Amino acid sequence: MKRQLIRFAGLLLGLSLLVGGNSCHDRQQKSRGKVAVIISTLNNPWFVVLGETASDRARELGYEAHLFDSQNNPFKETEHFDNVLASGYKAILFNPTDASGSVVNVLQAKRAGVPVFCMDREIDDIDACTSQILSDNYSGCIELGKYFVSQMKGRGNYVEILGLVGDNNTWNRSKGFHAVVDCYPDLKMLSQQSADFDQNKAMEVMESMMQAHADIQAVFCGNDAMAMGAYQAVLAAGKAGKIKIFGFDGAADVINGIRDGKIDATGMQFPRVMARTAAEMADKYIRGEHHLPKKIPVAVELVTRDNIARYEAFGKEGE
Amino acid sequence: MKTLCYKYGKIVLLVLLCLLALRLSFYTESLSARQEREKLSQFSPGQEVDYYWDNYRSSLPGRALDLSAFVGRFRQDPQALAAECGGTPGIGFKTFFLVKTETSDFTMRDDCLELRVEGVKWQIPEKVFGNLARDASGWFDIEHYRNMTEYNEVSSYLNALIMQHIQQVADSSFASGRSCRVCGAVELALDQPLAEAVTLIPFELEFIP
Amino acid sequence: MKTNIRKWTSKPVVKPLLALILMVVAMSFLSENFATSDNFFNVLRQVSVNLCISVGMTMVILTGGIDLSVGSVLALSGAVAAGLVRGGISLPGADLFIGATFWGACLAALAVGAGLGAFNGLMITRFKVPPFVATLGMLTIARGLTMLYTGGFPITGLGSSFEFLGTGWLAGIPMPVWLAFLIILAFAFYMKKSKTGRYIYAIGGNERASLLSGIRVDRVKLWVYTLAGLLSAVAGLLVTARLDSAQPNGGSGYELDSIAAVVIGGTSLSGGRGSIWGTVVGALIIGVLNNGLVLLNVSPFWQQVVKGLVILGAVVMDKYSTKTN
Repeated sequence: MKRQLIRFAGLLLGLSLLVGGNSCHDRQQKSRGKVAVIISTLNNPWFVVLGETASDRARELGYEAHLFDSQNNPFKETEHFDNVLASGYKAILFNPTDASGSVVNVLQAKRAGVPVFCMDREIDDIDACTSQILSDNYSGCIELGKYFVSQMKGRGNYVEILGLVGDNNTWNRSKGFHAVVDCYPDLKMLSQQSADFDQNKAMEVMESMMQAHADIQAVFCGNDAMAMGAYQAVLAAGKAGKIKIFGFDGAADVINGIRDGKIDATGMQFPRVMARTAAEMADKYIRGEHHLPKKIPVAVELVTRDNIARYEAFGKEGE
Repeated sequence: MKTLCYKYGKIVLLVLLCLLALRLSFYTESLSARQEREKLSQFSPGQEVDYYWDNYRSSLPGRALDLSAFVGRFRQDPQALAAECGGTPGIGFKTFFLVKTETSDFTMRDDCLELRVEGVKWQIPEKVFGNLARDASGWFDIEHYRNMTEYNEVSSYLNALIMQHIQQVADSSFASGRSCRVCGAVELALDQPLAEAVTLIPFELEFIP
Repeated sequence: MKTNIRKWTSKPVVKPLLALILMVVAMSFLSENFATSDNFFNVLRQVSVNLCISVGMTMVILTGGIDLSVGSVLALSGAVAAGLVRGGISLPGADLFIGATFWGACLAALAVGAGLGAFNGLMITRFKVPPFVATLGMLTIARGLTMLYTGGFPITGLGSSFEFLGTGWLAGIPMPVWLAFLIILAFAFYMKKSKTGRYIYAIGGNERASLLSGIRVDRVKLWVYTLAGLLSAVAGLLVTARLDSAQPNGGSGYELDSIAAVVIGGTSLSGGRGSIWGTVVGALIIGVLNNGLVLLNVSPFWQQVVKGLVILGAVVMDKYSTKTN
């Protein structure tokens, strides 16, 4: 028994030394402090770009940056906040999992004196965050809606695939789109369903919609992952080219899709711009400038086959 | 006898505890009082927008730049003009300006009222959407709203008021109008020359006979 | 004296406990932020949810069964509590509004948890559905019910009582830790001293023999699953209170962490051997591991790998020791 105990202890110690050894190196470089980058999920390349750009920019500015993955789970996010606040971080660059559920965490950080800068998604409390840098989804979808109307020549049948119904962005995008499209009575929405921002789910939803309505001419998807799913469904049904597909985000596969003529348009969000701005604002705050704007919208640009040359995945060409 | 008391005593105690738990589980209040409270906490853009529309619209022409002068200065040095009297809602947006003009060179088209000033067609659209009116008016501060959804509702409400105003004026005095006076907002990209046609969202529109 | 020491060191909880102590010592050396009181309470608070679930899971596993539905039951009870606190019944005719208080909402959540647990128990005892399958079914049923009840939206703004439960402190110790501690004490005592506690061990050890010796196996099993559901509901209340919102997809994956805690703590998956205190140590090991790896800035992807390796290591060590003994 004693022998195995020693073996087990040795295994555990060895494991932790191995793991600890990896991180020792970071701590030895001189830095101006630690910055935490807490991202809602690293499962989606869009968010990986957001998180890594924020970390890189923070490192460029002289800080030690660490990336945390909330796995789309507010409880995990709470744990990250607990750990970050107990470890002496100077600022948090934050991508919330839930607009109302994450408010508690930000308030906790505020009480502890650590500034929080929200990126891409907002929280439903204007005073808790030091600053929020987000995409203006509403305006972006208004531009998309105008293009949609011009492509459909003001008449036709379409369907809408929404993202997560609990996410503010889903409704900001939908409302922007409808603000324009509902002004044209000859454009009829046949169906509106949610596919939770997931590509596979969107494919299934699109298939059922096509079964239920034979005369769909266009589909508006709340994000690019769903647009790709819808495209796959349309392709499988042999209707590629007959149904126009509109997405939102500016992800790599849709940008290529627009180049190839598979997707009609998308709204390009600029995760790199948002991430860099957040890191720079954190730097300003740590240096002592406390009067920062509380909300900074970042424009979303319409990308179609006419201007696709200027864009690449997640931003402008050469950004 | 004692055991009987004990047994029944236990049951009575249990029942009393359950009743207490039940009573502590809920509360009652007047429905109307609650509805009043809820109405106050809910966001309705109407009140705020109406207030500014009724009381502050007349002060807009004072802040607006005359269109002819505007075009001249824009063509010369757009950055300086923007720094002086333009604004943007955030990063990457076009710059908005408040302008005013009075001209007799106008036509009513299918989907817009077109004014021609300084070689550019200024189009007042029939359908108004977007955030230009809200942002250019300067009446609404983004930091006063809980989230973007509420801030955008202000836009929809304001746009509805503007569309109503355009319709009213067009119906009543267009036919007899010799010249058109308008004060409104435009948005332009600073790194591009003035386009042939620019959308103008009016705050005040009138036809003078 | 020597026999006393032997008695203590042969308890199944000793090995995981020593491993825990070693881990804590190692982490304290490796990260300067680990051994602070703030962090200490963080770990305890984070582990309190898993502790509540795992106590119930221990009892279930001791009878030779398993409960995969704990995460979904947690989510549904949390959602019910949140929904009741936010909503109520309106009677316009009488100008009356009946709303639930904090206690009422908690009671309702506990009732929901216990009810679902009892349903599991019924499926297993009356209809002879294997526990794995029965609780797997409940996992999806409860998740679906949660989605239906919340409409896919989180329910937020739950008031100061929930805030106190989730983030409040009492005598220098966070509320969730108090709750978990009381539950552990109560159930450890229950398992050791009460008749039903001993029956649970007996059933796990040899079900047929227990049945033949007059133990009402079905009754005990039904009771155990109901308790597991009840404890999931308590955990649900803790999670909801901590986040000040009920999430429709809350609690996913919690069953795995709970089973891991039970296994690392020395309880055998085939039942009959194990203890609540072992599970407590197991949950603490997972909590310290999670917390330590984050403090050491290990990539989130590596964290998953390490966690899995520790669980495997613990079970292998355990099997190895029983073989040689």
